[in-house]
Amino acid sequence: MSYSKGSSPKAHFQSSKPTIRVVGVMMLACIALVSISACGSSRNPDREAAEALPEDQKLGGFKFEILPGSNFKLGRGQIEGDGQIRLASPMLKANSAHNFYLKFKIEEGGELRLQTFANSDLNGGVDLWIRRPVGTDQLSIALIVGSEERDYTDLLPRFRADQEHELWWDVHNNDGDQMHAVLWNQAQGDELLEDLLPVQGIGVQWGARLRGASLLGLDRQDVRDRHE
Amino acid sequence: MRSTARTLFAESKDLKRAAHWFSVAFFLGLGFLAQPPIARTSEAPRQLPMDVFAAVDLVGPFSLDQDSQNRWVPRSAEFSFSGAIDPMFDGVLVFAGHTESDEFRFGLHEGYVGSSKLIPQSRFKLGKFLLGVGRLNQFHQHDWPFITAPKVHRQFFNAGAGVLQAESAADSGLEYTWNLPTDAVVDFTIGVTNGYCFGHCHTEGQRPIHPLVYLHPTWFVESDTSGGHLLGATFLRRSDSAGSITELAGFDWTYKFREGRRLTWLVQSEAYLQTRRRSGAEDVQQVGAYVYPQYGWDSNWSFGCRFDAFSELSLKFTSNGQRRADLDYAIVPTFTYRSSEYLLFRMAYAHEVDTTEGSGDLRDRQFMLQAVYIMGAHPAHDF
Repeated sequence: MSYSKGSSPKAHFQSSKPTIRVVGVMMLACIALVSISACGSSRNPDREAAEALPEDQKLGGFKFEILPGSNFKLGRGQIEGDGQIRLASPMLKANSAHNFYLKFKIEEGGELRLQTFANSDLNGGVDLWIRRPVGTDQLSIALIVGSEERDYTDLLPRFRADQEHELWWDVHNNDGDQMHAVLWNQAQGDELLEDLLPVQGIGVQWGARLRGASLLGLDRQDVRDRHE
Repeated sequence: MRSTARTLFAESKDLKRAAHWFSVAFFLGLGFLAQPPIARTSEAPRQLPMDVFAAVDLVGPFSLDQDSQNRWVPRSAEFSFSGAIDPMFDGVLVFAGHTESDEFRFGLHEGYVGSSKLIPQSRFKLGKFLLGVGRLNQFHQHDWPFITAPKVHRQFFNAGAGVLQAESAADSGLEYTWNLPTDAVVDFTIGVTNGYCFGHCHTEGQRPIHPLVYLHPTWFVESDTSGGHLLGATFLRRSDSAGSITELAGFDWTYKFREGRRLTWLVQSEAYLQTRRRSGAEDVQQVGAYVYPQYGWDSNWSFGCRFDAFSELSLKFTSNGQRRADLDYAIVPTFTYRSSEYLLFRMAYAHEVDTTEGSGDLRDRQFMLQAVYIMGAHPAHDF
């Protein structure tokens, strides 16, 4: 701390008393504001709509709606057959990022499409499309966002067609104007691939479309890649 | 359109890394050539044909809610070269690196030619530069009066970057500023840039529907000989390759009052409204603001407290389409100690809360430490 010429430390301290008071008032105001906690309203029509759904329409803690034209066999925390589901717990904001987990098995000629950040009819979103073409022993995996389609099959390790698989998928629908996706096949471990597309999903809904497939597990969590 | 996937960063990562380090070595060498070892006073570099400085910004976040971030990192290192090219034109080259995803990446931050002599009452920049909009966006991170950017800046100028990493938006194009021939000090800035990728970018981006355009008129009001107000308005319009249109409108206010070398009062504030239109989707409208009053009780010590607010106005419940209230706020008290104009230490506490109707509050609380040092001749900012 510097003192002006001819002034003593005592004189400086006395002159700085009002300034200390100003800073003290500012600090007290900050502490008072920090201690005020915001109270989020409990009103949530989305949650009420989800709670009204039957208990057997539940995957990984999330209730889901079965869309018209579907023919599913519902089991304990799993579904099997043909059709489309929409999860009853949409994301809060389209401009956000989440990690999606899915466990699945696909019959020959079948397919599974996980649809995220979509509108209410599950279009316009970021989709992970997994297929088991007839006569092949390897699953095909692709990403679809709007008119962009990226085929990952040759970039990924071999996913045997006749087995159950698990995937963890980060969708950052808020990477500037772009969409950043990361894929893992282990709960912990190195990523399989990451990709960046110049388009984003347009909504907050998520769901899945199945044809000759079983969805054995589904979850939505915070992203694994935090961009730190 | 069907294409084989390209994994992000993978195909050009090694090449880019090699180019980065080659560039760093080159510019460091250039810096040593331009500046003799004794040139550590503020006077000496002015005699050189080129001002050269290096700035390092070290940050240590200590989060109470996400402790995986708790470590010291060199957030940015910057090498800057500026000076007269000839009697008419000036040149600027700023090369900076950042820590992101545990990697330190270098890149060209600014590189432009400009002049304030070619056209009367005017100045311009041609090349890559920080967009001349708002207040915070015209400064590099190490020149900000606080450690991290407020949410309104992160969302509207650097969406996708982490809280610590968010910086100012830069792009390549032309910026022209006209100083109106009036008694009042009024500048009118207009800029047109590529707009291939805005803010936080990992790639070169794709061709947008139209270039990015912006306007930023400012008005300086001198309150007395020791201070004044700088008022500005911003309008920015950009598009992306998918056809979405984003419009940003806002204002900025900066007040400074000096007593000798002591900046007694600084008040800095910005407020923006952004609307994003996409085909097949409803418009997304967001609003945000911050105000940062800072008091300096001598030339070394100062204390400020930033108040942030941000809201997505277009948020709705999906089941019935009713509006859903949304407010994110933050309070960030900040202590700064400036040893000199070349070295500062800062300590802050950021208390961020994300509240959304019908959903639990999300809190992010962290203490932050910062050290910034500058070696060489850092050019002065206008105000």
